[in-house]
Amino acid sequence: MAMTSAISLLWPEGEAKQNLAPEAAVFDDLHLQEIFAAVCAPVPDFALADWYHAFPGKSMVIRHRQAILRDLLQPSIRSAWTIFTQRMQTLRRQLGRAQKLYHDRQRQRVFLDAIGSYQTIFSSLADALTAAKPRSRALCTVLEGLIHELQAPQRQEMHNTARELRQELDTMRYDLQISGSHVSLWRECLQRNVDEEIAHTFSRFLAAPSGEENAREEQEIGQMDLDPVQARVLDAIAELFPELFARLAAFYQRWAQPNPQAATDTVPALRIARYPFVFVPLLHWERELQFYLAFLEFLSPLEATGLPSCVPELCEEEKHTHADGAYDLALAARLRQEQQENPVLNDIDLHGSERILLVSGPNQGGKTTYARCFGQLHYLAGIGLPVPAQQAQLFVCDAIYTHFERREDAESERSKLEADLLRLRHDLERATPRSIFVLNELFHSTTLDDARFLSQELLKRLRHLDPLVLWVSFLDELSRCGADVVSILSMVDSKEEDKRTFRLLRKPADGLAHALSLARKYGLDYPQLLARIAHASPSS
Amino acid sequence: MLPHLLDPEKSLAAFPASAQEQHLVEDLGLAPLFTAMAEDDDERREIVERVILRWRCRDAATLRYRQEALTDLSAQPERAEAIFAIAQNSLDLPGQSHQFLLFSKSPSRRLRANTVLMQELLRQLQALRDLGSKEETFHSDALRKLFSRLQQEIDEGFLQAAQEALAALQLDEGVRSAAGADAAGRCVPEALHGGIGNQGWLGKLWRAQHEDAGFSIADRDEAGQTALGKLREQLLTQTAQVLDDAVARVLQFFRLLRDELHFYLAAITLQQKLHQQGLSCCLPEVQEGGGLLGATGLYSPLLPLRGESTVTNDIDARHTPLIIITGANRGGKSTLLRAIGISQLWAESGLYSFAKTMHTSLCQGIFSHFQQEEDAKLQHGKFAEELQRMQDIVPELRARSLVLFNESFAATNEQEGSEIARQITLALRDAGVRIIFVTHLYSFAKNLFDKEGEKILFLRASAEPEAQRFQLLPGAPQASSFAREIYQKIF
Repeated sequence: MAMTSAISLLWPEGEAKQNLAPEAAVFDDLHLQEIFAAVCAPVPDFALADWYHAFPGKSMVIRHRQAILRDLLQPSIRSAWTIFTQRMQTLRRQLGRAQKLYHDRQRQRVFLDAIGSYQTIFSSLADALTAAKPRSRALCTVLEGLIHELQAPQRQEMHNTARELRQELDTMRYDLQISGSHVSLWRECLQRNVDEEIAHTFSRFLAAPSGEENAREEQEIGQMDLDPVQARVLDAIAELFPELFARLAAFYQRWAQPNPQAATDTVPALRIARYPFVFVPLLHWERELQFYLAFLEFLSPLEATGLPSCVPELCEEEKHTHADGAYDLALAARLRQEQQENPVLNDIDLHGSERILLVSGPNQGGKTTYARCFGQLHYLAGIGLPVPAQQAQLFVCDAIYTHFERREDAESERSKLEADLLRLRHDLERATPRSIFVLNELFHSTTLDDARFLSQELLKRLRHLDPLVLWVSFLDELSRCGADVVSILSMVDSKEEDKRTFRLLRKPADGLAHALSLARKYGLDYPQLLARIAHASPSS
Repeated sequence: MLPHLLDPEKSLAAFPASAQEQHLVEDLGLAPLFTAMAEDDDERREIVERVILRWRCRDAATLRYRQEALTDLSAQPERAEAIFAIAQNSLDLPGQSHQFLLFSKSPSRRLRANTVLMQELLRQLQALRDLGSKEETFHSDALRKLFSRLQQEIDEGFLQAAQEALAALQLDEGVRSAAGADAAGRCVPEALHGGIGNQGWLGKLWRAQHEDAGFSIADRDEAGQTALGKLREQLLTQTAQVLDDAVARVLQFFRLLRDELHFYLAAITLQQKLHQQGLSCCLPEVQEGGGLLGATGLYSPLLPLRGESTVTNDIDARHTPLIIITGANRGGKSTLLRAIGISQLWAESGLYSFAKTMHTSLCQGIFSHFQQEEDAKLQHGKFAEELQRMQDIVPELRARSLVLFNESFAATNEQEGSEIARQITLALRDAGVRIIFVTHLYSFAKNLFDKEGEKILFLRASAEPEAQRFQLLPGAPQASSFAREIYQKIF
């Protein structure tokens, strides 16, 4: 059964856990950094960031993850794991406090309870999962592993011993006497009960209507450390029942004593692996599932406002990629928080011999957002997560390369261009026909002529390599270069030409036409302007 | 154990006020009566009002129960005062010196205070019990049963058990308790065994027993001493609450006893005042159903309390539920109406009536509909107000309710007023309600007199010479209210 424990919920069997991290630039350009930071923020203990930054680029991995994801989208399965993690987090905090208790016997007692809690949490998970009936092979295997461990003789024995000890400790009674500054204890309890005597004697008088009741003082749960007297009382009790407390100590030694050699894990959530009573594979599974669950939690408030998300279908053979009702996830999260609004949804489509989406149109029209959306869809699909769209069939790419125009501008124009081109060449060398490029306003700061030249050259190279490309450019003539290029236009309102709709549609780029109509509107086109000037200067 | 002085099964409680109460008090002018009964004692006044207005007897048995208790206490006023004094003293005990400790959060302080208090209360209980074992016995069920219960419950067994429990609460030498441990290894006290200073054989046994384990806290160990104190308080928490409760129960008994006695003592006070003026009170014969009003020597106690001379009247309305009173202005009509109302209230409360003899039956609610003062706000016409007032009463009426009308529905012309009065009166009468109607609506009275004269009692205030003034005798309604005479005299 070693295989069962070794199963990973992120990497299918046989796959090496490769760390294929794309460049930081990709995360920044596509605003994925924002998204993953928001996803990880509520669960820092699980240290998930590295996993979001690893891009497998293989459909086998994606399918493995999607199967698990589909199971997790079942409310009963999702809640089983969510509840489990909530309880485990509480338990982790309790163990953290318990570890710091200075009094040995108290610590042993508290750990006894913690182990009982762990057992309950563990078996509740197994019960909930059994009832929920997962379909993915991975989660079924996990469930088998859980049940196997629960039934293992050692764990059963631990469970039974713990229960017995708790029972005996809870029902243990002794007599305690305080006389001046001396405390005495006896194993046997006297019979007399003064409370009962008083209650019984005066029961012949009827109860008064409850007016001023002294509030019962609750034992403070916060301060757990024993005060000096409680500590000595506990030691004295141990003297009264030496055998019971010896068993308690032995139990602690066996099941709760952390291994001093064990290195402290860098991942905080995994640190409790050093306790013998913890089933370590479950810790790892819990953490791996947070990869999915944390992301689903992040999507939750957006879905509540009506924004769609879906598990995409995968296109492997054909170079086909499609999404309906898609949006930039980072933008959506920001808009929701700042303005309580939703972004506009758009469609994306490349099929047949189409390879390049050429996006043009007026400034601030949503082109960059569209480009980011394109990138995000393929990235999220590529790591096996749901994508921000109503429905999608996305191309399985092996890598994503982004080139977004930077506005930093400290260096000179020339050295900046050099650096950009160098980077471009580097990417083109590494890329394959199964890669994706997202280019945004390249060569923006060079002259028009230079930009034309460079763009035409780049186009040639891209055609040669044959990846999928989304290219935002003001050079709309590129869109008329061939059947493999599709023109996408960011639209303005038909009535108010100033107003952006943030809708991007397949349309021939009309380039100058927009500028012309704008000029006409302000009376600045040739005929009107001429007339106005002529009118203004009557006789000169 | 409860005093049960006012009802064999129930105790005095906070009964909810009824909507019509205030009207009754104002219309019948009850305030001076309550003052005379309670004098300066606000508590006593409140209780008297509460019982008379909200807790009158529902049945004949309870009524006899109260009448007998009243008779008993009237016949032995010193003993009545003695019972009252014991109850009041017991209730005053917490106020003396220990009070702030009783509300202390510290269990040991409360235990100490309550142990002393309980000793006192036990003494008071014995004193009370002993009051009932003298030569002269009580005759009423209420008092006989109270003292027989006291004999039974405050017996040697009880006193001994109480003393033993209190003795166990002498904690100065030390305290011993059973205990367990909670999930964090902290000591959790269970049943308290008691103080080890117990002088009996049990205490000696405890002191001789050698401990199985133990430790001491040094005097100079401040943290340790504080923690030790805290543990000690924990040991005593449960017990302190149990004793708090026991003390509250005993005080509750004394409180009810005193409050219920307030009622009778107030009644006796009034009776004595009237007796000093030569006026008699009688225990009325009260039936549950059927039997209607009959009284001799009936008077309104408001007059003697004001220092005015009193006129008595005889009424025989035993065959009719409807009495109509007409006659000269200032002829004593309203006074008689009030007299009937007041005596009925007192009778139903289990007290005496202000008459030489009185026969009546229990009514399901007593209501007054008196002519209103000018409405200062002039929101509605006076007549509309009268009708509204009637409206308010109707939902509470039952068969055998009693309604007292004083010059009602006169705030319009006589024809209209008479018709309305007739309709309302007959409707109520046919539904079984008893009515006493003072009116000068001649058409109303005459009409009824002509149609159903035999079934109705008509009383008339006379304008005869002074000696017979305020006497109302059976007589037909007369047309004139002597306004003509007065007019002719002047013009």
